[in-house]
Amino acid sequence: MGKRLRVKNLDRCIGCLECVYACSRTNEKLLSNYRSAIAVKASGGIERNYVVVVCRGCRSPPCAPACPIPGAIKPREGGGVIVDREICDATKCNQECIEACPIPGAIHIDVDINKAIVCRQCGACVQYCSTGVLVMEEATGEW
Amino acid sequence: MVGELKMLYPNILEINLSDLSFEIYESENLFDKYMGGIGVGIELLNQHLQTGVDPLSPENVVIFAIGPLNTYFPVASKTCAVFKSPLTGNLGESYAGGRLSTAMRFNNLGALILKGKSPEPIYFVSYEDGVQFFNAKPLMYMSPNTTGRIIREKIGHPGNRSVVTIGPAGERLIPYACATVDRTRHFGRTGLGAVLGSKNVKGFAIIGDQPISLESNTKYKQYRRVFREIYKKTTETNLMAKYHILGTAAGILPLNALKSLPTRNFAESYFEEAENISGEYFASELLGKRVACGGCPIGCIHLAILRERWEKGTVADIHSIAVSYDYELIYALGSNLKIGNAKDILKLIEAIEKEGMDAISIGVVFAWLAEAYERNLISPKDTEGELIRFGRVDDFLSIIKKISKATEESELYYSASKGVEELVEKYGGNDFGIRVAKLEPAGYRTGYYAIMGFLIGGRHSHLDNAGYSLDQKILNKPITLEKGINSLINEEEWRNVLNSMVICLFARGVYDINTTIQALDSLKINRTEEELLKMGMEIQRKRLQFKYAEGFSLIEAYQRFPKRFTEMMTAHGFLEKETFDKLLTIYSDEAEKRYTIKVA
Repeated sequence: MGKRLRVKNLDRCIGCLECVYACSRTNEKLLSNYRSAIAVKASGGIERNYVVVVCRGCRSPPCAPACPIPGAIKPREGGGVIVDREICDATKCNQECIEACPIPGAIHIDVDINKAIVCRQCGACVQYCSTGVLVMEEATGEW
Repeated sequence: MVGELKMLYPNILEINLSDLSFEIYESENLFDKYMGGIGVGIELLNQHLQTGVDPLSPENVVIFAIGPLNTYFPVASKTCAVFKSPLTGNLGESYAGGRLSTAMRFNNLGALILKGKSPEPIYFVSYEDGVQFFNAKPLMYMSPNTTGRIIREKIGHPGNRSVVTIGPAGERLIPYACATVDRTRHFGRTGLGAVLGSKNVKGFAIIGDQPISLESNTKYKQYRRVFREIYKKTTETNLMAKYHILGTAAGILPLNALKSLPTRNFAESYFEEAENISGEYFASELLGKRVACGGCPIGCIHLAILRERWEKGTVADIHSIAVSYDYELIYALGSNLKIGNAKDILKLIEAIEKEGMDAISIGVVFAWLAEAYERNLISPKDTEGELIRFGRVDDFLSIIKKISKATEESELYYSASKGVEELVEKYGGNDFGIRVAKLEPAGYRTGYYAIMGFLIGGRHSHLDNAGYSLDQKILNKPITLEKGINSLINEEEWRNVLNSMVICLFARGVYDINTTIQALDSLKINRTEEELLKMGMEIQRKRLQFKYAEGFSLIEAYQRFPKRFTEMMTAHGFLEKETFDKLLTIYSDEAEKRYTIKVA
């Protein structure tokens, strides 16, 4: 069974953004701070902790059944979902996936290509997290 | 749109503050020839700045520039600023991290040029397609960080922006005022804050979220491989370990052990209380968290949590603030003032941060005042009744605002607000007036090359050529004076290359020549070792040409050396004037040979 991404040690985040760039570089062939499935935000100024916003890799992902376009978002073995870029088309739906996901920002629409951007659990970001915030793990929790 | 950005040749944004107009244009030639950072910066400065202008007049020009490696590679996270310095009267040059270089990258901005003077205080926001100006009059005399918070709330775009601000010191044109970037980083040295203040620019923000196609702008496979290699070198070797563990403060104990930590206005080189202000002490007792600049996996920014009780407060009347500390601040506000309490240093840093001053310069000004007071060179009448004594944090805390707000009526503090050179002019005390070419130095009493490095460096900074590092390297294996001077010059020329990329110099061990060539090649920029070295030399020639055209005199700067430089114990023992004389001659000969300009 595939592993899924876990934000295991959030308190260690130093806000370097290497995970954001790694995702964008690997999955989009872009250098970008928002065309990425993972985001890092300051919560209440630099003195406070950072927040990592990314898909939690649910084994019963609520976004998948909510999608009105058949085959656009499929559950992934081991947790999370895979968006089929050929099928997904944000101009033909009401972004039901975003509505269904309880984590704000975990899914967003890339306005340049009108596709849902969501983590595909590839682990590229983990390789570039120097402080061990991010890890790939077997799904063991109830979600 | 994706893939259409010509990222190798980003835009130039030129703002004329006098009529709040702007122009965005391309200049392939400029970036092709001079790459970025200091290479592009010094070229643009020469193009736009007339020789001989008053640095605080509308005629001064400020250039901010990033380089080809910024954001593409780890630790290429700095932005270069060049201008005419109000402190030294010649080349103003300073570097800052934060997220400024990433914001410029995603804004497709290679260089920002500020000219003229706004009629009223303003701040401006640069988007990819234009600039918006805002009234900053209601923000006058706010601290840099309050100003930054207000600008951030006003403009939105969290995560995709960087905000640069000045404080009251910049607005009052104090020539060592700094510009603060994203709360914890600074364009500290040589007075950028005052130049922005003179232009009525309270701050500015860069917003950028334009994605860049790696398929069209890089050799994608090779780029990813080189990225991975540099990332591994950065995080898995010990090349940068000290920066992320203790941060730059790691230097306090080793330099103290070498008898090289400036103490008591450089009169001593060993501080008996160094343990209590060491990187180790800060980390174990006060460190709250580490943070990083955009695109740097190191996280050298160390934020201490300072808990303070309110004046006359109860045990529960406590507030906490986060204060970023570094080696230079601990030297300038700690050992050099004989302050051996880490919390006291944090209090001073915070108070100086609020005014928006360069902590090194104000620290050395404090040290001169304390020594002058002790020697009765200045009287209680001059100090307006204030006591200014080494080791007393309250003495220094109580004069920060007096210096920041000084008018000509309060002669001593007004002079102090202009720097050590001005104090020496007015009151004497040249023997212990610690500055080189009018710039208060960084904290190294390592030996000849630290001092010579300050003197011959393009901007008289320890970062120009790292003489302090050479002093330490040759401790047990002496080299000839010729070799020493050549080593300084070569280092400075190579740093001109790195400062054109613009990498953080903490990663200079990672970015050796080969790595730099490979990184550039993966971005489709072809350069040989010879070409890069030649570029470094050319940039040095231009920096020196700028300085000499502005009236810099090497001999004069040398003649004004404080006597203390030849009286002080260092890691290499006492320094002798005869050796300095020889080093100066060797340098002049070598520089004239290399740059074919008169160096005197």
